[in-house]
Amino acid sequence: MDRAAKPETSRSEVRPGNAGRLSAEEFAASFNQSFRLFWLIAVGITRDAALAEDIVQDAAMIALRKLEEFQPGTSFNAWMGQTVRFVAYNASRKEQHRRNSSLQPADTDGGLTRLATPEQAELTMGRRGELSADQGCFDDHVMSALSEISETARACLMLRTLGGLEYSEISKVLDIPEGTAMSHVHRSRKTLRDQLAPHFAGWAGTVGGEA
Amino acid sequence: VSHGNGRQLDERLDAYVDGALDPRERAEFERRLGGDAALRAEIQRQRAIDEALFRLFPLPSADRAGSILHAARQRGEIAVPELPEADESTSAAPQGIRPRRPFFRRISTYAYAATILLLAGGGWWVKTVLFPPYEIGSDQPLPFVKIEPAAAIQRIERENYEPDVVCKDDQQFAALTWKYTKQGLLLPQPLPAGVEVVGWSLAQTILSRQTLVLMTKVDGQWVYVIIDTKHNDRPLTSPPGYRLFRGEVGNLFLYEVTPLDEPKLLKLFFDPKKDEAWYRAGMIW
Repeated sequence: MDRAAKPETSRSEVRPGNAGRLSAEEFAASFNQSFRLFWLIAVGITRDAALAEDIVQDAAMIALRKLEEFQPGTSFNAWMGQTVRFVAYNASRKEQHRRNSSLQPADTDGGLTRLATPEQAELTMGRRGELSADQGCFDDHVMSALSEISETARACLMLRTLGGLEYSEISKVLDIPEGTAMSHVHRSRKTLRDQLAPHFAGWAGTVGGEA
Repeated sequence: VSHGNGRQLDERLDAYVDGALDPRERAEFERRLGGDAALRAEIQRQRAIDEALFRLFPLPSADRAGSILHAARQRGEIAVPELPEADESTSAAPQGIRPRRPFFRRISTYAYAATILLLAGGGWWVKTVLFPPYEIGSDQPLPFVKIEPAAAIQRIERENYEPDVVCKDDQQFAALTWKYTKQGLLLPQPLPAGVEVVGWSLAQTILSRQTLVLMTKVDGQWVYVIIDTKHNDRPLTSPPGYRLFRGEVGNLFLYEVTPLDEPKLLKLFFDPKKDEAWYRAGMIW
């Protein structure tokens, strides 16, 4: 995969020394290096880019309070990733609860406000799959389709697609087997393609439309 | 994919889209693609979805880590260290720190976008809010398969030299370069004798997703100009039968790919130095 700006993971990870506890300064250096990796985990779980920064901030606060729990010589990203997941899952539950108890109809599809009717939203595509500027609803449908994928699977998808991480690296930061990470990504992408299939109607290459 | 070894093919498709196949596997997969329109369509759909994910969740710049630690420090609940290499002048006044908001006050980005759309009611907002241009020079990772100029030319040939975009006037021409590179480019009018601009080939990922390829004819021969920002520069390999010449205009570099012995176009390009409104007015996409 192209790695022009991928979030740092194990290979370039700052590994605090084996001797003594993790210092706050070492934490800051490691956090700085892997911040976007944690953000991707949070955004995968919550589907909310703004909330993801708050989650990473909260996770950093928690981790700083528990520096003594870090096992010297182990992976900082795996340790911090666990805290980010914990905070993100909690935030996601709270947000879900808030939406469920809200009377605002605009919130019922996961924070999305529908911007167009299905007729308006039908997507046609250019020769190379480019979206024209006046077909602005496709992203909304992608966002909505993401709700059909589990939180962990979404985190795998984001880390792979946006972060360019290898499956082994995803496995480490999410604490799941490598095969599971791979399976999550494949299934997520397939789910998205299937969910979004109606919005590709009219495109010459519709599944089954050409032999 | 609706046919053939379902899961295995999905895995191969993903690996292809991710650029994770080795050259032999990639060549083999592309041979299969050549005769499988449904598979090609599936790949285009996956790419469209991936592009949407990049638009929906643009990765924050790396320096946001410092801002987040700074914001955590401001909360005063715990001692939060400065980043080791932090510049005091910037950490004291960090850019764009977003104060934490209680959950009930959080408005989704999309609700906000919807409000703006309703208020503005115009296509401009559709372009800029829902389809923001990729930020050149940002830290946003853009995984794509980098191709050499030879592959770009092969694609143009396969498509019978049909350009993706043909500009009707100078403003459209400059607007397109501005959209992709944040700098306008123009050629003088009238063009020198023997020079003909045919159009643009887009999505040629030679150096980045923003790489532009201008298709021209000089004395009846195809000559291409590869344009991108200096930020994305890298050494390129000359396609067989062509020579490669490099030039610069402002923050852009240009590679003229020509069968001729010398560049005919590089020195012609110039920056019209117009304001953003002028470029936006020229956008037809």
